[in-house]
Amino acid sequence: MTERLNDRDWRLISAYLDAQLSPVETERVEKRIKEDLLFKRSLDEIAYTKRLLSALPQKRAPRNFTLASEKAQKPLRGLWLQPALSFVSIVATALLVVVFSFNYLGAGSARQAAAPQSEMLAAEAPAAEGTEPVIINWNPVLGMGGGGGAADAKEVYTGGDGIGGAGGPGFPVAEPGVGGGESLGPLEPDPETVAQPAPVAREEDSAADSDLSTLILGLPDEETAGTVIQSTPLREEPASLPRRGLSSPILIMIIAGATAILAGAAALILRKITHA
Amino acid sequence: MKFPELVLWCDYTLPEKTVKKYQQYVSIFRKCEKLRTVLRYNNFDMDELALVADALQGDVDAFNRLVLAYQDMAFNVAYRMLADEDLAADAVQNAFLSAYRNLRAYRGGSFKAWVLRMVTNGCYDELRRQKRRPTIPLEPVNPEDGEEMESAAWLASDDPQPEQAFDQAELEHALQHCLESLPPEFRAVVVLVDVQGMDYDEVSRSVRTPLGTVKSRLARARLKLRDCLQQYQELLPPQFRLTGGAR
Repeated sequence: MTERLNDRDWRLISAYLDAQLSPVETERVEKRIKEDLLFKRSLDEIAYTKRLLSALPQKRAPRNFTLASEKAQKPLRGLWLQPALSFVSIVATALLVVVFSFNYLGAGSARQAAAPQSEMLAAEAPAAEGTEPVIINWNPVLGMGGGGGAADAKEVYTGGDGIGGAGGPGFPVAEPGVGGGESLGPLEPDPETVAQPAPVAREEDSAADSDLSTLILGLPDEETAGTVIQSTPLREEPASLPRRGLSSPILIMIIAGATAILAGAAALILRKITHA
Repeated sequence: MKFPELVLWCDYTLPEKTVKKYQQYVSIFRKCEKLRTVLRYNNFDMDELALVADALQGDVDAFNRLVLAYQDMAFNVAYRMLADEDLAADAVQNAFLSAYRNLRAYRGGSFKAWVLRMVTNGCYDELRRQKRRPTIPLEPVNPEDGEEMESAAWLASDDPQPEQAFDQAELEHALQHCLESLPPEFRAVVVLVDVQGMDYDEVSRSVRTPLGTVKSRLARARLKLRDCLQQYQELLPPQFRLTGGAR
């Protein structure tokens, strides 16, 4: 008599009860049943368990599960659209993440740091190229100096001591202006420039002295002190100039985000409709 | 050519369009002879195959006759798997709907096994869903000992002898409890073989598992059930009380 049955014994017992053994195996099992008490008792217990299970009452279906014609038809819509929309949503989200991390977490951060300088330069560019700024000169005689007159540097050089940074209009003697550009060394005088008399601009400057709109900010003289000067921009910014509102990564992120949300919502709605 | 279409070709008149489609099969008549031999050898129910063939042509009524033939068995399998009538009914309804919509995937063989495969798959899905989102049963709880009280449905039975009916219901409850303690794959095999009386081959096709695995799972499931039933010795007739000594 065995003390303990192994997995193979249990499989033999189970298959024997279902008549799934070959004649040779069946004969072997029957012989063992006669000789091995534990084997026989185990067989009886499994046989009884099997009988209990087969005696479980069969329940009747609570209703008929027949199909109505209209319900039996395959839903045509959303078969391919829903996965396609889900895919688009996932791709757009991935794009959003990539662009965001590139711009704000990776190499883009360095570029972002440089952006203000470039924007400042870009902001100055139209002013330099376009109209002259509105300048109010409160004291045409005593110029305050300073101001980097890059365009006037050469002129100042020709008439002065080679130190850049012209004081602006109305400076007969060039004194080093505050914040003026400094030339790095003696420059060869340009013959054309030398030949040209500088006073042309100065005449304009002197003519502009009477025009309050061209004055540089400074101390007001006695006549103009306390008066309110109204000036309007000489020329408005043309509409054709490109707007500096949105950079391309931000635009991509906005489009990707909107696509991800819309496609995801559409896929979700479609899924609910098709599974209803 | 798929099996149901071959049945259609051999035994039914097909639309002209379909005939042209299969003119490429030169040995079609030889195939028909072979098919008839196979069907005879395997004792296939020709009426069932004819209904499948009609259903393939879009005849929902033909399919509904198959539904009526197997709905009780399908419901019992689902009920023993899920232990809930409503969930079982939903699983069976979805299984029949899925079977109709995928009828072209039916490759012959036992239609019962094919349908029950859809039922068991639906039950597996439901059990997985329950595992992800466990729910609390709404059985009333006794305030004194915190134990769940038995519902009225638990005591209901058609049996005219109340005492006998109570014993039977208790035993059924014990068995159902033991079935629920089995892993789903073991439960499906033991329900199909022992509760529904299906043979190993059909069960193997129903659960899409090799025959050897079916045998192994069945043996282990029966052993686990025997162990579980030892908790309910008082419900068993004295001559069948289990010793549980042998493992």
